[in-house]
Amino acid sequence: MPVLADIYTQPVQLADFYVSNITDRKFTAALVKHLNITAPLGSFQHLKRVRGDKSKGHRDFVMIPRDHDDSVRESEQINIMMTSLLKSSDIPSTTLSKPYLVKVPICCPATRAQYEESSFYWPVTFHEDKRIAQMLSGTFFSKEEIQRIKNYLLEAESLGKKAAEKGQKHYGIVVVDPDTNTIIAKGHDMCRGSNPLHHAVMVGLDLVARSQGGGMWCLEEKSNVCELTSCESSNGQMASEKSGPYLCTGYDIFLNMEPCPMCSMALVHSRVNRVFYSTPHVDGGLGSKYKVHMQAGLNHHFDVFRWTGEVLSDIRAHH
Amino acid sequence: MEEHINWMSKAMVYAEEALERGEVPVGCIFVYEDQEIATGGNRVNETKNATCHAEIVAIEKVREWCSLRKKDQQDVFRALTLYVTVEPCVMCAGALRQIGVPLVVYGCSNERFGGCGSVLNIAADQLSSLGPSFDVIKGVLAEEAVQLLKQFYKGENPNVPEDKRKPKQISILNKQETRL
Repeated sequence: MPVLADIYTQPVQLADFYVSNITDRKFTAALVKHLNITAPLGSFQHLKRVRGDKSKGHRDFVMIPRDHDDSVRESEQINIMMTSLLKSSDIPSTTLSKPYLVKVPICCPATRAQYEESSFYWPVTFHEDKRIAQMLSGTFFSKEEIQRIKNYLLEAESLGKKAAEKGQKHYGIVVVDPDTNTIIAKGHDMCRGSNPLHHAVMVGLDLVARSQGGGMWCLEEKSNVCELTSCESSNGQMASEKSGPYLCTGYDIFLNMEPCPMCSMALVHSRVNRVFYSTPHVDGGLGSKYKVHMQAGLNHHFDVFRWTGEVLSDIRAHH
Repeated sequence: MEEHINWMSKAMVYAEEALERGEVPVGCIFVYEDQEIATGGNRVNETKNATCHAEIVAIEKVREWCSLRKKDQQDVFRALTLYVTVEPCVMCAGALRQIGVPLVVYGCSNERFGGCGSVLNIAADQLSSLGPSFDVIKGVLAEEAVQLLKQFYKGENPNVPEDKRKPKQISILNKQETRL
């Protein structure tokens, strides 16, 4: 299941708008043209200006948002408003009936479900994001991909188990290059060792750095308490080449637990491709407490998927 | 305040050193019982680890300081003041909560990554599993910190691939400066 930004999952928000019936249909085009100048829709560009109602045989026209600072406008003020809207046009004022209030959606719909809900209130434009639509419909991954994801999540879980056996927290990480389907690094939590920052993600990212000839921590020193694999350095291939992508560009991360805010931001800094995790955490940074991967203002965004199939992890959810 | 400025000018030296190494110029020092016990500068390019920020480097040095003197690192962490030239990012703010640092003094705000109110407020938000929240004093030698960042972004980070480079960084900093 994808962990999407709130705009894709929130219910439709509504605002009050003044609407009027068009009494003479032949002025419809002129009205649209004129009111786009005198009463532009501003942030409500997704609203269609005209709503046809076949059963009642008339057309409604959306005009301007209700001023929320005061209560409903007095009829006198409404008349002034109508006159000013049609000022300097050839459209007779009788073309529009006395306005009334309707609820309209505040935002452009981001998903088909929101579109359908929005259309119930007022006709809106909608451009479906095919990728998001696939994610929401559950057809984004093939069966083979899902099996592969599951296997890596199980691997992260078994690393977490090893950590727990050594008195560390039950968190594991697997870093995968999806192009070659190879594991770049495997690690697990060791924050109960000497460094409280040695969360599974921080350890895993340093192992990737090491596979590229870098690294900042002396993780080997603790090999008596922990089991870690930086796969390239263990078989001696990439460690000497000092190659690999820029940071973790293109790599997928598999975790048995949603990362904390520190680790979530570490994944942003490392420019990862995608993150998959199996268990949510109440203070987690990729869906629960924050959505750091979609945070406005940050320079790198990535997709996050939470496993919603059968239970893959022994750790209890931290709700 | 004068005390803060004095410590911050020392932190600034480590930001300048980072700049000379070709790293993003952020520097910091940890003060324990009126004594500087650890320093750090950004080492992301050197370690090929994007998490190797000044604060993370300095936290490791605090640990070394503690183990040399046989001090309990948790007791020391909880009595530290961090002086850092730029607002700690979301990650570092999380790290500082994790170890329980009570007070962070910083220079300029970090509109792109800041975790003490600019992008998120990890410093103060309710996050019981992450450790205690910490106090923040901002704006100490902010102008100097911004100048160093500007110098860095004038010459681009040579480790960022061509297609990932952001041409707008200077303007972001200009905006930041006008805010301060």
